[in-house]
Amino acid sequence: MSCEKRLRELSGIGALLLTFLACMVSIFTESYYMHALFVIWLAMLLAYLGFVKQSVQYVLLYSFTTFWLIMMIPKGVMIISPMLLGMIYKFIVPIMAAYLTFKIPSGKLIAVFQKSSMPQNILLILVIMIRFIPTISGEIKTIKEAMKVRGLTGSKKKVFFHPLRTVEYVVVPLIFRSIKVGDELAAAAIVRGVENTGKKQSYYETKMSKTDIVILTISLLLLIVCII
Amino acid sequence: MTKEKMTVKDIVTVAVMMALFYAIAFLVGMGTVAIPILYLYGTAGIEMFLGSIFYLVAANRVNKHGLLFVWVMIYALITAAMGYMFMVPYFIAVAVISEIVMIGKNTYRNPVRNMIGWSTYGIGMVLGIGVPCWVAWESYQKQALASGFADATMKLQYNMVSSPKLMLVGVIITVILSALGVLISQKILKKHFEKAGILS
Repeated sequence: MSCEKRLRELSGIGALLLTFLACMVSIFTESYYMHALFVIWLAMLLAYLGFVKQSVQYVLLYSFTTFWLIMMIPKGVMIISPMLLGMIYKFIVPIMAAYLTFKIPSGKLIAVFQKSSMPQNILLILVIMIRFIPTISGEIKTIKEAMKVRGLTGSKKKVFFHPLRTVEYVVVPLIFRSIKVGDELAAAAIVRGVENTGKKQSYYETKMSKTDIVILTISLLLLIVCII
Repeated sequence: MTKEKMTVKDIVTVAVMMALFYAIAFLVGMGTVAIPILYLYGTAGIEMFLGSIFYLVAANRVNKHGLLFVWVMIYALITAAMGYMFMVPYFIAVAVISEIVMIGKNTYRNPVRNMIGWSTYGIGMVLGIGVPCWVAWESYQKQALASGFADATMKLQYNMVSSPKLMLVGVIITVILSALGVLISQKILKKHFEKAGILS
């Protein structure tokens, strides 16, 4: 089975429940080993679904953070803030799971949210935010390149002494680009009948697939082990 | 002020601006966490200062009631997803108060009213630091310590929330930064966005 096909098997409810379980692991696990076990499981899952590069990146970041927290901080090496490391250590689990939620088609998430009694406005905002957050870094990269071409990046001294101007140079085009993307998104949604007040159905099923059940069962078992 | 409901275009604008705001808020949180005192007293203020431009663009473009309410409610949902469920009622209250502050005609295009509304939200964020301590100090402490919060920070937080004077310092810092943010953002708004005609 190809990676795309495997990812297609993952449903919206599966991805959301996995993220929820990851949050629970992050909150309740106290043992370093159990925490590491769940990270390894998520890394394997990411690799299985075709995100090998991201999986390796997360594992490297996790290994570095844990190494520093366990080995260097007790020795008093505080070059990196222990709280920052602690936050990375705690947030990496939900972020890895949320990465999958970001990667599945937003239609799948809408299908799940529509089943709940959430108001439509809040539902739409949540789904658009989930979809839009990953594109922000791409937009910033483009703006940076455009600034470089026009010679606006300047020296570090300039950036340091005129922070507001620098922010203005980045933020204003970022908002312009985002609004343009947003308008196109709104137009596309309206064309697809988002304003229709009738009962909506989805192209995607909200039932769990076999892949979901396997993934969630293993995650749940790991969560139980982590808590015990 | 139109009494009609938010259109899809409005909702998308709000969502996109909120995504940008939370991206900045996340970066600020990660940046300030290294310095405990700045983390407790400054995070909300810096977030409000840098994020005001996104709020103002959304407010001026949408200009409909309920915007600030939705803005805070989404934050409440994010907090709930992070495991701090008991914060939800508090943020619902903040959302309602922030929206009440904005009652009136065309208030979302009024710089002064926006400044008041945005600062109210800011105050809600600072006082939010106290809520976990007042409601459930024991369980919060356990959870926060497990999240890598240093013991010193917890003591600092406890001192802050148990002293009204220190709380007031936090509130004042946040209000000043929020108001300053709106002031500067309003200038940027006039300089760039009004001319481009994207606010109407």
